[in-house]
Amino acid sequence: MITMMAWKNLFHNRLSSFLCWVLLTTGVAIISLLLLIEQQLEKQFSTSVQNIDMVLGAKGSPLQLILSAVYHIDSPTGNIDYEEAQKWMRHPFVQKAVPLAYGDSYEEYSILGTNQLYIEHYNGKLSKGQLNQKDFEVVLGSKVAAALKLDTGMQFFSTHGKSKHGRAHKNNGYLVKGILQPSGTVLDHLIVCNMESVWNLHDATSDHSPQETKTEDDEEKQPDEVHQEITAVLLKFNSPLANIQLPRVISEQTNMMAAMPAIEMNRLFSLLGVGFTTLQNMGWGIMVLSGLSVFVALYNSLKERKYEMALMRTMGASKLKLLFLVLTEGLILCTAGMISGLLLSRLALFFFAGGFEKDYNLVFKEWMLPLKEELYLSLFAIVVGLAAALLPAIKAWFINISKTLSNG
Amino acid sequence: MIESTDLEFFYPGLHFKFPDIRCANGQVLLVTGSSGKGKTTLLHLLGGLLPPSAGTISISGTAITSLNSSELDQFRGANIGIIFQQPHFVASLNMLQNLTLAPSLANKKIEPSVATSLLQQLGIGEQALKKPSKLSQGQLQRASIARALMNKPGLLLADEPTSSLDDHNCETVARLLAEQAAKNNAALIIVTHDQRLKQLFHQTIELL
Repeated sequence: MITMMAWKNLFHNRLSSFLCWVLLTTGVAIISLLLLIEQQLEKQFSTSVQNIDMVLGAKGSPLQLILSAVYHIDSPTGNIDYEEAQKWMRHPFVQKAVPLAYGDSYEEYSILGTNQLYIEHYNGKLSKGQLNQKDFEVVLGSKVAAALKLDTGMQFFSTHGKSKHGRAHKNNGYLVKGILQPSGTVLDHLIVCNMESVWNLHDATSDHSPQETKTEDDEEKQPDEVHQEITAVLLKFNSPLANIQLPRVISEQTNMMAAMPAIEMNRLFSLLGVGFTTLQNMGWGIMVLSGLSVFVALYNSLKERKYEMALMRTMGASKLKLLFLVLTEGLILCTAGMISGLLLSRLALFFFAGGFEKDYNLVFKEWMLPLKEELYLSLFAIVVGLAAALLPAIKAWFINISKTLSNG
Repeated sequence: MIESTDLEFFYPGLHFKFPDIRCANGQVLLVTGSSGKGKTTLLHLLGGLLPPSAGTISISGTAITSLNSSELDQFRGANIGIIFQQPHFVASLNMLQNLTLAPSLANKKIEPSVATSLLQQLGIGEQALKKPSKLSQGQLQRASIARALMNKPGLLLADEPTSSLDDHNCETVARLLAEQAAKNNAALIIVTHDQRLKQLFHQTIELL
């Protein structure tokens, strides 16, 4: 009965109830959405970074090197000499080394020259065909195959650089040998071939005019006929000592740069964190505001309902019952706002997910599941509701029946 | 059956000393007096809405002056029906729900059929599903009689039940009240300064 009355009362004052609900929904949705995005970004970035201790590349911004070599969302810092890089790849501290040579692209999907270790590293498994063995044979990530509608046995010509309108290399076509299963990593968005394909393609097309080279990405600044060049090397160490020693030695002794993904990603997240924190604080602010609106709504309706309440007391309702009635109203409002807020954040993320995947090669996973932080958020929403209802509820407790009825 | 002895009540700067009251089941007692003589105060004392400064009240053998707050709430819900001068209802509920609120709050079995038949007996059966704001004063006053009767109380208290009604409605409401009290074998105490009621009820106590 008390619950039924609480509903009826909220519905009776539907406009102010609606305002409370909208404010709460907004607050909860903003915070929950930020939590979800932050968690997804961290999860995504950390899965890609797994087992990569260091990236070796050309001098430049270490963050750019990581973003380009590990996540493929930035342009590379430049090229390094393969022979020189190999010295470090064979270093005793190095357990695994995967060389990467950035080639051209096809319909904005990067073609990456590397060895078999790369696909192994990301646990890529074939869903169709076989792995690339000869030059100009490629394996497609699942998303690439789906988006470009390419199948095994089909051939395509790459374009130079990473733009859609780059010059097409017409002399050597790539042959699709295999398609990978979805892995939820960057692999899904890549076209993988061997390094020789990248080198041979550019040796064969030595018709680059210097002018063109300048306007293109700096990935092949100086096409070198003698030295084979690669873009970066992903390294995994077998000793923690290497984390301290190698980066220093490399920057001292070579003209290459060593960047640690863990450090760079931490830096990136602490930069992003400022924005996240600001937005989150805004969300908390809105929630406090909604608490205030719940308070005003209940307080005002209590003023009108004072006589009702006294009347209910004369009909045998205890003080506790009236206290519960008001608290229930606050609780219903906040629970409704909390649930719709959590749903709204998922709906929003559902719409954002496509954009994130397209622009940042990020696939959101398991985002429907509630987070631990959301538990705290829900608790906070309920506490806000109860706190806002507390004063009106206490007022209901202390209603003087006789006085109220005499003045009614 | 209600009995009071030596009731007194102090307001700041005001002292009421009430005559002893006795009303058996099935009887009607009219308490009259001009305004400021403590009519409403007496009714609130008898209904257990206000604790007396001195004296005792016993309803159906229970000394309500010795009950604690929550016992009193429960006793009031189960044994006393009160009709107020201004017929107030819970605005968000319809008439039927307002009536069934009484047994619900008194932790009694909710019987909507009792409510509908009461509304019908009082001539407002068609208003059952309307909200209080849609009813006229006379209709609301009848509905408040119905609500007071919902729990079949042994004591009915009415505070100026007819003061806001015209002559015709006044007589109808007063008759309905007496009729329903007799039917339920309840003691009925009406507190009023309405002269019209004196012609209908003969057992009278005047507050001086």
